[in-house]
Amino acid sequence: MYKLFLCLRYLRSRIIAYFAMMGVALCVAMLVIVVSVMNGFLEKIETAAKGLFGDIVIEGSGSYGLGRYDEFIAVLKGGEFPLQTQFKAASGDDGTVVFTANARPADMWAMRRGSPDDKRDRKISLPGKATLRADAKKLGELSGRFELSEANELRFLPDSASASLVPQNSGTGLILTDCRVELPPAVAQVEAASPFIFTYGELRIPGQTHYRNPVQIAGIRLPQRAEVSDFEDGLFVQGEQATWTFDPPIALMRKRIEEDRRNIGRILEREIARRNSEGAAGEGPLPERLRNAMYFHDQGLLILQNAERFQKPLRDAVEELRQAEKSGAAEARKEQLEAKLETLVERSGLRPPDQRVILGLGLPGLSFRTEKGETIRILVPGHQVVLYIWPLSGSDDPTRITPNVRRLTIVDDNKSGVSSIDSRMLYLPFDTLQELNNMSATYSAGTPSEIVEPARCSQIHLKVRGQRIGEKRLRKICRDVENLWRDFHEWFPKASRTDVSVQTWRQRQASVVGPIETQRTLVVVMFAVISLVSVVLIFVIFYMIVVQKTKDIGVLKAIGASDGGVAWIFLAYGATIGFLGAILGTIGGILFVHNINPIHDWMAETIGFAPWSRDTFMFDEIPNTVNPSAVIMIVLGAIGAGLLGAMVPSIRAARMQPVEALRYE
Amino acid sequence: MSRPNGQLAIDVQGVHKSYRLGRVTLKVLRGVSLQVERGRFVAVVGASGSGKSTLLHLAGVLDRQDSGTIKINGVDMQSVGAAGRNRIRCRDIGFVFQFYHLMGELNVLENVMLPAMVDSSALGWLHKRRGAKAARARAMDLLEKLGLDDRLKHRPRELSGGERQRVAIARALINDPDVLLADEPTGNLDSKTGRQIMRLLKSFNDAGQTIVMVTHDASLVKECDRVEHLRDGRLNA
Repeated sequence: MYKLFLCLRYLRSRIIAYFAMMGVALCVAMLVIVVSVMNGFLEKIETAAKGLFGDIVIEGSGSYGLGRYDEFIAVLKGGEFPLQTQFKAASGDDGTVVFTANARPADMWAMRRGSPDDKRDRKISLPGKATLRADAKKLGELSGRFELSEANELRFLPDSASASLVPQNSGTGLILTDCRVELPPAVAQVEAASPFIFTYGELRIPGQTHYRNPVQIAGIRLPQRAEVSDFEDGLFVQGEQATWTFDPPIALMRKRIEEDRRNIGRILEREIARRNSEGAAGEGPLPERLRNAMYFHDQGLLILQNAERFQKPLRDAVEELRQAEKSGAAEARKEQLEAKLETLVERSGLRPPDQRVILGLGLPGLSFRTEKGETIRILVPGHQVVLYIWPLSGSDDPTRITPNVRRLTIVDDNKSGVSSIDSRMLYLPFDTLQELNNMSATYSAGTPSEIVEPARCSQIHLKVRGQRIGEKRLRKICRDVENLWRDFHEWFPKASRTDVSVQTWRQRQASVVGPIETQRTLVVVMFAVISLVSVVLIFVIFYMIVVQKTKDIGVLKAIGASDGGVAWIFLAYGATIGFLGAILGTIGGILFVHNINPIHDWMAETIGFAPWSRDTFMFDEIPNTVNPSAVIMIVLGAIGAGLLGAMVPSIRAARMQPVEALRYE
Repeated sequence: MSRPNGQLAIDVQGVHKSYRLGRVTLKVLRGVSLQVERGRFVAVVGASGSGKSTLLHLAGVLDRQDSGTIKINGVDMQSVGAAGRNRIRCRDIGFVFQFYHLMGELNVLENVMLPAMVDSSALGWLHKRRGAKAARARAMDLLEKLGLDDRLKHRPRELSGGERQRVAIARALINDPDVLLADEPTGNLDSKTGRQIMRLLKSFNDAGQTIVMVTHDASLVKECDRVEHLRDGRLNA
């Protein structure tokens, strides 16, 4: 009891103890801040990279890209795999109709590959669907099972519900088309996969001839994109929606633009008030730019308002055209309807859903940032842009590339938080970009059903099951995927022309992640060395305290305190200083990290010192995630330092003979 | 505490003690023998540097002799380990120092209670709680007897020399020791205060407390039962 009592008393009445505590607190705060910012930086890169590419990226090395991606995805993660075989009806032994076909080798491979144990000589039975036709007339959708016998004979057995759709004894006129077999996953860890097209182009704005901006263009599928990345989180219009599309409701777009416009209005008022209070002459450049942005918002709202009126006529025209096509109306009539539809689209002011674009929020000239870091949009949904794409794929003669031009309506914008992406990237519907980039399927001139080159994508992005999967596990999955692709490529030789690489997000970002990881280690080591100063500081302070307390030690021993008891007092003293200092430092460090961006802005404003450059560091904001395990390590380190500093003086105190201590001058 | 009954509280036999000061070996005690019966008030008088304090430190188990035997209550200190020596220092012996050696961080009451806390920390939790209460009551009682009951919350630096020495005496007596050892208890006080302290010690002795005091001031020893003179490291009564 006396030990704790004395320890607390010493703590309470020694100013020097507070100094030691402050020393520890400063060191701890310093480490917490540095490690947090560095970790946050890495984490942001990770999230950004994963947000863009998912966990794993499959990519062909040339400009040809990857073909048969949907088939590959079906084999990879399980799902509907299209069989390239036509089934013909035949009478079964019992008089029922069965569908048989000679299985294509690739289909057999897929079915065998997808079955639980990949054995060549076993009967395979998998569920699936097919469209039943009689002499080109569609009779209905059948579901049932596809069976592959040991002799590689493929059969389709409709289930009892579907069997009633099949006319009995109708002979051999029946065929099955569009057969899809449901495959189990080949690599079970893959949760989702999505094809992705990446290319370059030039962005122009109609009516603004001087605006020409090189951009990177991503072709994505919505809403499936959200399964592999967190693309949807950064969407301006649809961020809070449950599903995402290139055709969001017009009312929603208007609502968001109105909110955004009000927000700009507030910033404008604030800016004018600020300039008035400073007594500055004139309005200055910012209010003018804000007014300009508001003008574009108003324009966007007008366009959308107009488009809203055309929604019903457009729907009707589309329906009319569909009916005409279905009923086999005359070509002239169809052309007339198409022209009408075209006129309506033109008058509505919005391009059809396949001609829409989502901008990256940060494209130069289309938005800007105020000094306080607020992003002001200029071009909002509703406006149109023109995209020039020089297709890199599909042309064997690079000297004769002609651009594909497309007018597109902006429907949304996306902020990934990585400024190098947001300032360059825009997103197009996958199929649209596929066509613009000459990646669509090409067919043989002689036999139009024969595919010369399949439709292709640039990359396939994979999401792996679970959170925070280690690099080692990801690499293992990469190898499995790569092996599967090699296998797949044997049966689908047109799927790629060159080597295909399968990389984890970390491997793709190695040039960025590597140096930062090295930097973090280096900085932590450097700061740990600096923190040694605090150990020395505590040691010196303790030595002083013990020396000052030598007579007390003598008295304690004279009244019967044990060596251990005396050592305990000073060790506990050291540990307490270490602990309290660490707690103080942690609180201070965490508070600092949490407010690092306001502090940075404040510094920039008051003393004009802004060490964080948004361009160099890729992110708009200084990362500020505190890693609990790192903080625990630092706190333990600080307590250890306190103990270490107190150890030598405590042992010296404990070993003293009472008389020696009492005589000490 | 007990009346003189012939039992030896302290039995020092032929003790030698020397110190090394660099190359010189200083022979401080040369075969000192001292027997103190229970209930006695014994004074050891000698000039400065005669070895009085060394003798007292050895008797108080604060130091180890080179040769000879020291018995406290009949127990040979040579045969007792570190824990046993701590226990004897804590329970059987009370020490009063010339320079009081009070702890500046603690108030009067806490200074007095400290040995009781050290003692109770060797016992179980229940004893500790009871011990703490009892120690507090005993400390208050002692301080009242010593006329310090209005100074309980004061720090040592706020007290006069005489008051500090009285606090030191209270601290030495808190664990009800068999022997009170006083090293020049009046050495740092004026003669009037010194006499007060002597009267106090005498009153405790009258109540049965065995006391061994060393002093260089022969005028103080008239209250004592027996006076030993230490000269050149040897005692002669």
